[in-house]
Amino acid sequence: MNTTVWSGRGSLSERAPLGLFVRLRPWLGILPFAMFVGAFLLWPTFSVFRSAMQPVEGSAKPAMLEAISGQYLSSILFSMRMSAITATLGMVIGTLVAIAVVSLDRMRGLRNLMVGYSAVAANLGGIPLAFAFVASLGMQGLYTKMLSAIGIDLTDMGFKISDFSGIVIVYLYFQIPLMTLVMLPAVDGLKSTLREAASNLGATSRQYWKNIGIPLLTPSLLGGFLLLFANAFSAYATAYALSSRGSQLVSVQIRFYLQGNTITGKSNLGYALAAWMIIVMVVAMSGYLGLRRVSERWRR
Amino acid sequence: MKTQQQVLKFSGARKSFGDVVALAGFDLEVAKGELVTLLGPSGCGKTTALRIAAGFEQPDSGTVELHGVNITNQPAHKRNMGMVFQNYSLFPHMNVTENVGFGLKVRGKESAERKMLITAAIDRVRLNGLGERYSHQLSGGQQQRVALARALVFEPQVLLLDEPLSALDAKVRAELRDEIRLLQSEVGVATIFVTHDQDEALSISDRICIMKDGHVQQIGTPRDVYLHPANAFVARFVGAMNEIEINVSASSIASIGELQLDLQVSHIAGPSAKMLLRPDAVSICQRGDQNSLNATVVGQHFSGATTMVRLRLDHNDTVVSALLVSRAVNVVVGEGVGVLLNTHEAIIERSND
Amino acid sequence: MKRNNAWAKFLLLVVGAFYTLPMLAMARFSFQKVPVIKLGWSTLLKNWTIGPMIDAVTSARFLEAGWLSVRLAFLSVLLSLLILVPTTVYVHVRFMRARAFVELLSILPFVVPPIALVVGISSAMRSTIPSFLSSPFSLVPFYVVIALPFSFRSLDVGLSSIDLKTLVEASRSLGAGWMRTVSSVILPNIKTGVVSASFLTFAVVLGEFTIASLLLKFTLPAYLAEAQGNNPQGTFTVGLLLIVVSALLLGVMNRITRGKSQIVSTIGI
Repeated sequence: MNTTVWSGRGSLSERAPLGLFVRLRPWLGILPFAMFVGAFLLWPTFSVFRSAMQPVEGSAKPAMLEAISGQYLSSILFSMRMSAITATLGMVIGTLVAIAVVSLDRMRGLRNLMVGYSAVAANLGGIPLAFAFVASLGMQGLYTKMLSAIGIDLTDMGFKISDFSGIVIVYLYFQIPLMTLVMLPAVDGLKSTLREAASNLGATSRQYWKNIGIPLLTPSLLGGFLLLFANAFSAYATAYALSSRGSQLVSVQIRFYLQGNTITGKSNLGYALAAWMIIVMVVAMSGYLGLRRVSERWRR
Repeated sequence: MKTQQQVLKFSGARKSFGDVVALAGFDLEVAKGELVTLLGPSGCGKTTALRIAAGFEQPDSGTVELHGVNITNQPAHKRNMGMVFQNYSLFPHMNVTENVGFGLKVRGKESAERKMLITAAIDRVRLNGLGERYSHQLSGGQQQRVALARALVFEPQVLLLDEPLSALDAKVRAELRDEIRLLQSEVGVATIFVTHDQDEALSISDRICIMKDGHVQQIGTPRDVYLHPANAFVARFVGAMNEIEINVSASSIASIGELQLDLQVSHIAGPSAKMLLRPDAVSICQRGDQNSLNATVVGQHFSGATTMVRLRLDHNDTVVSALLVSRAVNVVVGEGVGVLLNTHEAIIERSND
Repeated sequence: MKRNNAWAKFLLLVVGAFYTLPMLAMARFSFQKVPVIKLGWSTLLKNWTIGPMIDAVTSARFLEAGWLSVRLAFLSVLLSLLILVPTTVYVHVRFMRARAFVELLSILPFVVPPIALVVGISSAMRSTIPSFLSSPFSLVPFYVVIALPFSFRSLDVGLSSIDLKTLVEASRSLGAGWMRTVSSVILPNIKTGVVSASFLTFAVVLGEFTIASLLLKFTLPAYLAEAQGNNPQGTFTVGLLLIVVSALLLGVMNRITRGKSQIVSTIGI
């Protein structure tokens, strides 16, 4: 068996090239996959950043810095606010749903139904979902009419499905099931034996939740929040379809800057906004993955 | 002799789950410092009884008393008992120190006092220096020790152990078993130990309570249970048993092949019955010796101090085992020998039992 | 320990209503030719018709969009499997050390929102290979990328759940060569993973709007955006149809995956 002596960068033995080849050869197997991802994901991403670094016409600053000033910053913050709100609401409700499902585990089939439905609903979005809510709570919505029949006039209250609160409600349709799916394993991890151990050691229900239940759920709660945040932040189609206030979201704004292939002077701003979006997503997703690893360690 | 102060008492506790009777009229008293083992196959009710003691289940009827006080309906967290679970149930997000100190914390003990007690408890289970570790960084045996420290640190009235050794591998199991016993007797706490492993039960218990299908079969010291089993189930469950077919005649004479043995106890006559006999009640002599059966040696299992010799009886080819001190064994496989049966300790089981 | 679960049942009822009511409203709007203002107890059962639906699904625009979407979906599934099955099998059988790296690559699409991806695509490819983007099938590789977290996860979980190493060793010791081992031993055992990866990819492609719209390709979601003006009811039925089809795909996929893998495959991460 040939063993290659490979000591540091300086010295090379005669067999060094072969040694290196042998070491790297297994990686050839995943080369096609890596190249595919490189070509169709990394290259466009790199291109976004490259364009984002260019200055906007009429200014010396790179577009990325321009994009976080003044009016452009407000759309980023608007998106973040929207995402944070839907993530928080989704987190709370989704967690309660997960706890409810686990506590009712004597009811056969309930859990399967919930998981199955959540799997579908979490991936639902875009235009059909917007349609469904317009049909429900829009100006001519079925439930708008039903509510006004019992005295709750939504238009009088200033509610529009295309408004901020309307979009939040629509987003919750997929945020809640997503959080449910994230939290189910975590709630499962609160095995009944931990509850019994705590009880046996003298803890009341409140003491159990304060010292054991909530701390154990926290990484998944925070991780789920970040996932939901990322999910809402990157959404485009639903907001686009509901228009009006939706158009203030970053995702829709980007389109505005790059509409119809015209290379206007401001197009670099569009790229810059896209670049910032990616950065926010990287931060949020890394946080989610890190927190998930913590909660999995505890679930052994 | 330990003080006979009664700590825990079950009176007529019954529990059913739907149609299944898990526990039928359970009576038991546990004294201070005593270790009582609930032993039996799965489904016998031992875990149900333990959980009723802990307060995780409520009996349908009957009572549980602690120092004479009826605690049957008292919630689990008020009972001041320590419990050790089969799968350790350590809190995964807390380190060893925090786990052990949890019972003290919910009882409102001051931090300084807690620290002292925790350190003492951790030392007692020989885990000094591991206070900062988390459960996923500990081996199974270490985790169970933490669980033990956690259950004992606040000086509970009763210690409950639910198959604490089942999840561990053989070597760790043997070590920990003895440590648990040592700790328990040092501390002097009334203890209930649940297991399906009769070796464990025999080696560490003050008394054993054998159960089957929700009913108590026998309660006695390990010696009692082993040497004088109350019925055939207990005889077979605890320790190995030989089974020999016999015919019993009217005046308590048993005939095995051509041999007539006086059972010295009166039994109802019947054509066929089974005699259950411990391997250590069987010995080897010369072929043809008085009161012996003819047999051939068919195997030997050497285990160091003792050897189990397998013998096939000539008259009906039944194989019996004789447990002998190795030094006294000088037969070879294939040799014809005589078999002596010490029927003092035999249990007779009628064929339609 | 006694548990009071009334709150749980109540919550699930409310949430269940939240999930179903919008779909019901959508269905009502699609199939009942009664404007909401006129809706009352007397008109509740009147004018239910599938007329608008027929109009929509027989329209040229729908057929064009639908046909394109279906073809894109099939091609995306094919391309996904073509790239991922050999890669994941290779990693699991020969090169587990690279698994973390491959997994990382597979979740990268999550950090690039479709809107950002599509502007990057424009910028990158318009200048270098403009002709590539003119074909509607240029969407296929990007769809494979978007579905990557889900499809990789499904296959990876499927491969992890069988004792691959032992199976391969058994097969090899019985004399089978590599090709034989792969085709007779490995592939049949990852059927579940392949099916769920395919269904997920298919559902993702059918519903994808952002990239298709900005690259001006006429897929089903793009049709939905366009057609709501002239035939709102019909368009809504198509939307409903899309939801039902996705739900079926995901529902079946959910049934056939069990255990821990179930949730992870659905979220993709």
